Amino acid sequence: MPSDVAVHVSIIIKHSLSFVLSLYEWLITSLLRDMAQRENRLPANLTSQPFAGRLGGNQEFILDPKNSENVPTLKRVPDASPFISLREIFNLRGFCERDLWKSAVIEGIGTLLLVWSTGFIAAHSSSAPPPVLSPTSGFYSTPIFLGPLTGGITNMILLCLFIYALGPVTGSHLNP
Amino acid sequence: MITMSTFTARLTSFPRMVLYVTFQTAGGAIAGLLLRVSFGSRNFLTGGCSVDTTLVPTGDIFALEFMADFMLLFLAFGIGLDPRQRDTFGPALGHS
Repeated sequence: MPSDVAVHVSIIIKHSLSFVLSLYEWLITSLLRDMAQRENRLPANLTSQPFAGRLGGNQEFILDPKNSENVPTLKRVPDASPFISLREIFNLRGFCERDLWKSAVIEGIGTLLLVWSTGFIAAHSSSAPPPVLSPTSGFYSTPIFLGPLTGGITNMILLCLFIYALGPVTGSHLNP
Repeated sequence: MITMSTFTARLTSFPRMVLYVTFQTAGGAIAGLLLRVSFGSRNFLTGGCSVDTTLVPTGDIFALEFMADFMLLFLAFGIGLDPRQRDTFGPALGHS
């Protein structure tokens, strides 16, 4: 009798194990299928404006002027190619381009934020009496030195972040 | 500075340069006004941006600014705009 019970138990265990295994297999295959589908979906409509003078090397985000498909775009934005003639550089049609104005406004906003943050961190009062210089470190321990020092250190971090943020949009020229 | 240098390097068209420089200057000016509001008064100085010409001669300041800008452009053209840096700084500069 006990051996009969043991056989039953082993059969039940075997069946449940195979059930768990098949469940696991199904999970893995469906996950893999999902991943494959997601990979196919990934290159969505992420468009970056072609512009030779942008951050990231002037060969990556350019259009070939010899390709006839690019002619309309290059007529609109001549600096999408690194080989521009002087006539095209000074072509004033660009002032009518909405995309150029958008980029310029974003560039202005980025400069605004960068100048404000760094300026505010580095600023010190000019109406306060001049600080007493320390006998050992001179003016290096006064706000005249420490303000710009802090501003410079935070500027290193902020400027990098702003460059990364604006790079795909305007090319990150960012000069106050 | 970078906008004008890329213009002289024939990487930026004239309208783009004018628009960018205009809006960068406008952004800087508005930031200055906001700074004045946030600081509460006009009586503040930002070291490095304001130099007392009675203490430092103009020639010295010009040399200083020239060297700083030269360094900026040297690094910008060497790192940000050089196509040969694709493999070295690729992911950081937006390549795939």
